[in-house]
Amino acid sequence: MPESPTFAQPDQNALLLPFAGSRREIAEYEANGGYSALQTALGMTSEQLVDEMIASNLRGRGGAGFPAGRKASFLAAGLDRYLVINGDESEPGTFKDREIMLRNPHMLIEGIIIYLWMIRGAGAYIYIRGEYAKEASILEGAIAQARAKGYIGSPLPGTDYVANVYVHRGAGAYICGEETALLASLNGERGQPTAKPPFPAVSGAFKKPTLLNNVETVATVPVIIGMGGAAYAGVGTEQSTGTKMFSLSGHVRNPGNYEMPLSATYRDLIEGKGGGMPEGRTLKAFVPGGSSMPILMPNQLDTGLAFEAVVAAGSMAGSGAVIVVDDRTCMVRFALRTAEFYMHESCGKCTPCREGTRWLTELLRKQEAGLGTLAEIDLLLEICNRVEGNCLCVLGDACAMPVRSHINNFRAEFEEHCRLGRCPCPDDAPMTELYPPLLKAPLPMVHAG
Amino acid sequence: MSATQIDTVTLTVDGREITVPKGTPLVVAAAEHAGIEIPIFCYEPRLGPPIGACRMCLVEIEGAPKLQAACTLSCGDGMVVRTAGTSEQAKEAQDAVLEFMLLNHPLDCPVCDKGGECPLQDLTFKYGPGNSRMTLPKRTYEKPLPISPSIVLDRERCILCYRCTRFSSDVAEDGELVARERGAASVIATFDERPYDGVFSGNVTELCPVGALLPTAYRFKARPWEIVNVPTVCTGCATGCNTWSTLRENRVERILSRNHAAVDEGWLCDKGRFARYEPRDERIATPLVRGVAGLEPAEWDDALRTMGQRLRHQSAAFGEGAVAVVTGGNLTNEEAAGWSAIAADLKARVASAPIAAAAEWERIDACLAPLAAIDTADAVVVIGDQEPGDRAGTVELRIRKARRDGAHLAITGPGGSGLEADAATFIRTHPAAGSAMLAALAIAVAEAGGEHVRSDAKPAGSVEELAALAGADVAQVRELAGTLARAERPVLIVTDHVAVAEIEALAWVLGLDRGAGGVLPLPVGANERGERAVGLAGGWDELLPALEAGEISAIVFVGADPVLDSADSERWQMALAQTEFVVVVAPFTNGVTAQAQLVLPLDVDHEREGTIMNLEGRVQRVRPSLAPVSGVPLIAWTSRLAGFLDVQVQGNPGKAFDQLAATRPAFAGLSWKGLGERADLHRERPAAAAPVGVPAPTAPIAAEPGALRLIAPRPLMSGAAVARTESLAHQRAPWVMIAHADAQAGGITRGDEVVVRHAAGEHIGTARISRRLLPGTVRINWSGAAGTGASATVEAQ
Repeated sequence: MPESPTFAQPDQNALLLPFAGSRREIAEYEANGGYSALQTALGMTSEQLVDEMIASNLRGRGGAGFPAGRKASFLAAGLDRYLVINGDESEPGTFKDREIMLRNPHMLIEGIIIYLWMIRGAGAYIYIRGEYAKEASILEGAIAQARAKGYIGSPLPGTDYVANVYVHRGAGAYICGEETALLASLNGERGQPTAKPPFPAVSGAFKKPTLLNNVETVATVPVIIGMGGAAYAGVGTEQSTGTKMFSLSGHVRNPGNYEMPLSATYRDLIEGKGGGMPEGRTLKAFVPGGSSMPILMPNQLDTGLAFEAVVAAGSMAGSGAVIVVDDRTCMVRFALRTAEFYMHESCGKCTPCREGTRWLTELLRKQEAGLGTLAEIDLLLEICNRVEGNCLCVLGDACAMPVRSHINNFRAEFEEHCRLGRCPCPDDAPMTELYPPLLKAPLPMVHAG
Repeated sequence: MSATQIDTVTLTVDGREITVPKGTPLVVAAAEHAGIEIPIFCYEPRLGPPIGACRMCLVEIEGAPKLQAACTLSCGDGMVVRTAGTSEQAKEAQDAVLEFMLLNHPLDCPVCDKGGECPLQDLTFKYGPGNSRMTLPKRTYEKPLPISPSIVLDRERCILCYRCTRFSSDVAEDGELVARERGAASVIATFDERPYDGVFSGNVTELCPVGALLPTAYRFKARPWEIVNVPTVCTGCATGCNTWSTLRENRVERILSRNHAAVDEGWLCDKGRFARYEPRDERIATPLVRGVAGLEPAEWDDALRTMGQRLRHQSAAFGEGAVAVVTGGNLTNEEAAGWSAIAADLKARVASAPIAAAAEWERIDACLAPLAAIDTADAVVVIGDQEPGDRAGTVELRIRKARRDGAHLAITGPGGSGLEADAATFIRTHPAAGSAMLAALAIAVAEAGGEHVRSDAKPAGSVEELAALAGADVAQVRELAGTLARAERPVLIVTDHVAVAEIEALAWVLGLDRGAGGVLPLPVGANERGERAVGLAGGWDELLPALEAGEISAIVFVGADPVLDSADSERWQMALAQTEFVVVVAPFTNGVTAQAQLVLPLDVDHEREGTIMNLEGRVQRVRPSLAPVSGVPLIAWTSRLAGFLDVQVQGNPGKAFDQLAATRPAFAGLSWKGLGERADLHRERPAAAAPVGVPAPTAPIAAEPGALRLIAPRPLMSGAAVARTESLAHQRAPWVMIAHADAQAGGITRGDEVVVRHAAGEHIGTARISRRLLPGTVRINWSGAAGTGASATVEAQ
């Protein structure tokens, strides 16, 4: 994966990554004020820390946007409590946590130690997606440095509390980014979501009360403790405070990760940071928050990046993965590619997702080949309705929502496929720029195994 | 939880207000309290917490943003629930889930064995769409796929409800059946395509809500409308699991569980489910009398008259004890009562138990635990060399459940049993050291003291001495004793090599006669308790010296075969060769028929009518589905034989039972008609008395220098029926377990073919290596030829 352009361009307004390049050495991190937030935190009680988090109004950066301070306050009492950091970043288009782990791993480690101290946790597990081998070894290195400095593995200054931090690599399942599936995988079980209750706050890692947070959420904690929750809440909008990492990809001049205040708009991101569309192309649509979200149209470019603004526009901010789609793109093929991904990643546990994602994919494959019927376009919509909201976790929804939005926004294109009996788009339609091809092979389950 | 402490919640389901105990799953509350069916596939409370996978039970909850699965949702106070009956949204979801399930289902109901008794078919009939919108090719798989010699899998029919894999991982805990691949490509599979290796595997065929997992033997055998299901009780062991025997055209084609929750919780072991006394044409079908050319068929009346005359003659000529009647704990109570009456009239010696200690187990009746006590136990201690599951199959599942529910599970023995891995305590002892272990525990508990603990009448000796005798670690013994002393409801499960006096001592110290908890000894024979209760008591090995001394001149074996089933095989054989009159009643030619002057047919499981008493003392009805091979029921010809002896024996099982109820205390208050299909446990606890004079346990036998000590308990997968059931061959395949250290010393690795040599011969088996098995011992899964304690050597082939 190429390194993000932001490696070279420092962003003075950024809170998480305000510098160019990376700070993987602990000395460099400390020289720039690193681990000072931890010192501050050690002088605070758990309640004070939770209060500070609540004051910051930080919303979880993993996708759902749940207030992180409130989440921490739910954790059931108990001797053995664990912190799990979700680094299983797998939503197509999302690569922001990777940037944090690559460039500023100690900020994540510092956030973890502050969180652990806040909950007096027995240990923290960074569950990192299997493909992030380099990032995992960077984190291992950072942990070793923090251990040598006494931040990990020995009592923290002035306390008898010992923070323990471990890296656990996943095995490649997208669904293990879902919290209960992540915990099942961490516990050595098949990576599948489980019904809630019990919630992780009651029974999570090793069946003990567990607090689970996204990498970016945890990495933001030193910023909040450093500047104070109230000051942090001054950035962004009232309901969506602070800055957030956005992964910009697709048909845009300067793809990459950009840290944006949540008061900015998609236009600021796509046209401002991303430099707009490549020469001679126009914007057809954009995915506002990862491939599972309904797409937005060009006339919605001024939608705010804030969680509430995207919801008002009919989609969701999700993980902050913005995929720009230009006018050459076949939307049927885009829908098929999206559905294929979710079919491939469905864990197989619940019926609507397991069967529905496959049915959608096969019908879309027919549509894209021009073999579909007009009635099947309605059937596709009906299947989306029958999947969405009926599944054990939200993976089924993640397939149904974008497919529905593709059909609703570009129905004419679908109908044209049916009428012509083929895909009207040129053969070099730039699908591979949107996602790397994951599924070249035919559907795996059609023939006897 | 006592009745007064149950918190209740009140909620509304489809407009009906119901009040249910807090924590009740909504799906149960709706059905049981509101009479509203919420259809389900994956929900099965016996498999542990609900998983919400199939999504069939989606309902609308007022205030919830989306539909909720009624199986994973506990009833809440004030909850307003609308099921598919009243909610459009829920109805739409229900249709959706059924449509999704049927998308790739082959709909081959006309040729599916499940057709007619299939939950998917029933729910589709009731709620399903009338047509399909699936126009694409369906998923296909290779089929049928054997997952073991007993079970076939049809992956096309599978709706992936995960009941089977949950059974394997969460009930039997064998980890054999798993889901492989992901998403729509998910399939049920065994690891690396190896056969399902577990003695409870057959349960998955009953849990399967479609025709995906089927018993191989039942495939294409019958349609549900042409079979008769006869309610009966398994006689494979003393648990007494309730079963249906599926009868078609005078053949038992299938055995299903009949779920008596207090006995079997709806589980069966594979022996009970798959083992058959077949082929029937190899059975002994007529009386056989030894003539010049060997055993020759004889007329019933001739054979019985001769037998009566000769038995009467021996008794008259040689007096009391000249005749012996030996049973194996497998007769019905009524059959046994007949033989008991005959034996009494002939002043005959009797023996019914393959292991001597069992003969005295009535002495601990004051502490006898019902099976259900395991469920609520806070500590379960298993004492003996043998695995509980080998003696009483499904009891193992109960022990595992108790452990999962938080009971402290302790295993003591020489190691290498399946329960140790997850036990909280494992105390390794010498083989055959159960008595010393119990005595050590009794003293240690008395010394630990506690609210329920009695410290009078503790056995003689010290914990240190007895622990050393048992080969156990003293600190571990004391720690377990502390746990037991604090436990409110401890249950002791005793298998073999344990003397009753020591059980009595520990039970007394723990005060197990006072109600909670108890002792559960696991007998070998299915109706050993019942046979003792009608007067056929005593251990086989107590007879042997008299037989060898020539004091017994006539012996009758009714369903007993010490030549095959006892450790003293050779001694029995030699003694029988000198015995004047040997009668054998058996289903097949066996170890003792060779020396018999007269052989008579024995009825087996599905041919018998009567009652048996299970290990907890529950009297249950056995109902016949087939006529005996001989055409004459055992109880009928026993009555005829008695007639020749001028003894009154009732030949009708019902009348015989009512006689027992009138005359034998163990059956008091029961009646043939009142037993019902799921029998209650009627047992009065006698008062307990302080045990007196507990003898000092003897030291376990040491092996000869350079040899290993053999541990050879009788495994579950043994006996005439198992030996004749081809599909169980893989389950009875001989293995030889040796300790890791011994394996290293002998250069043996897992899977090697090894030969075990001992005084009585040699056997070949597959090597298993255990780090828990006591070094210096070898555990094998077949018995009979040499007993526990014998010296043996193991070498790679």
